[in-house]
Amino acid sequence: MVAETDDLDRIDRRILDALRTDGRLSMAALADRVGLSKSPVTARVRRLEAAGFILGYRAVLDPVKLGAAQVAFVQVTLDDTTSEALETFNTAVRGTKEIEACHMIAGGFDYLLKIRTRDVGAYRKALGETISRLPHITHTSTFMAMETVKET
Amino acid sequence: MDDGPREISRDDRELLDRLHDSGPLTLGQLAEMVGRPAPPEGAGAVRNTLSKWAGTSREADANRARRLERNGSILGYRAVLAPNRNELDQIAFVQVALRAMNAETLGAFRDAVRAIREVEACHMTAGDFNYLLQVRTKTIPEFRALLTDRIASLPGVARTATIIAMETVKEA
Repeated sequence: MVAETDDLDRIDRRILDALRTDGRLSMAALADRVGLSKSPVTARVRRLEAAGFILGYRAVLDPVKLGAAQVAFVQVTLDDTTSEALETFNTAVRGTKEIEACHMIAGGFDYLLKIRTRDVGAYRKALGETISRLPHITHTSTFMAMETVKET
Repeated sequence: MDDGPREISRDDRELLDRLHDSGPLTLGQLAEMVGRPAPPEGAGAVRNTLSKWAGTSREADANRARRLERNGSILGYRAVLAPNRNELDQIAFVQVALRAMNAETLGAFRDAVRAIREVEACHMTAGDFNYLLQVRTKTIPEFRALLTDRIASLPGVARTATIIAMETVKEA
């Protein structure tokens, strides 16, 4: 069973792994995958949800159909990396729709952002109007994705 | 038939946008949005829900979601896991430069990269490197082993540069 601490056992990890790729697996299918029967698996999933390991569920949409097929990666440098500045920046990132992903990184810059827009022109606009206006940004460097080889 | 963005009706777009913009939902809320019962319920609930919705305004939503699933606009559903709390939380980005960019090399690289489970994403990029990989492992030592054992020996690789993620602020 899931402990109150952040300890996950092997079965919890297998559950999370399965749900990461298919959130709407029925409990029966998930139980099959994990090698337990339905009741304990259902109980574990509820616990993982209650404990906040699983934040919720969402639909996976085809970005091409959504008109957001152009991916760009932006390396971003901040002028201030105190906790307050990072929190302000993080909050702004979470509220920006075009930013699909954002990671704080160790390297020559501070954050790597993944941006989705309709096309390159739309990205150019997003860069000037939205991304460069994020709090504390002092420098950006973009490289465009030309093709998606894998995306899970 | 290929549905480009132009061929999506306004109502389809509205549902897709709603699905895209909602943060993580409970299974019940997600099921509501796409007109299905949540998985824990049994086959009887499917019939009940669909029959409840037949003849109501929700029937259109349910049919719309079914159609969007069939035409691939909705690829599926997944759990949203808390970043930084699950064990497979070490993300590293690897920039890869290939020795050549001809079709054969690209094809071999592509096939091989797709077979590496830890590689969550791979994009061909413009710039100093040809590909950007997103790799997820439990720890940095595990990543380090993967880098030498599998990534550096991918077909056609000339050089790599690794960027270690310290924290995930937002992910799809």
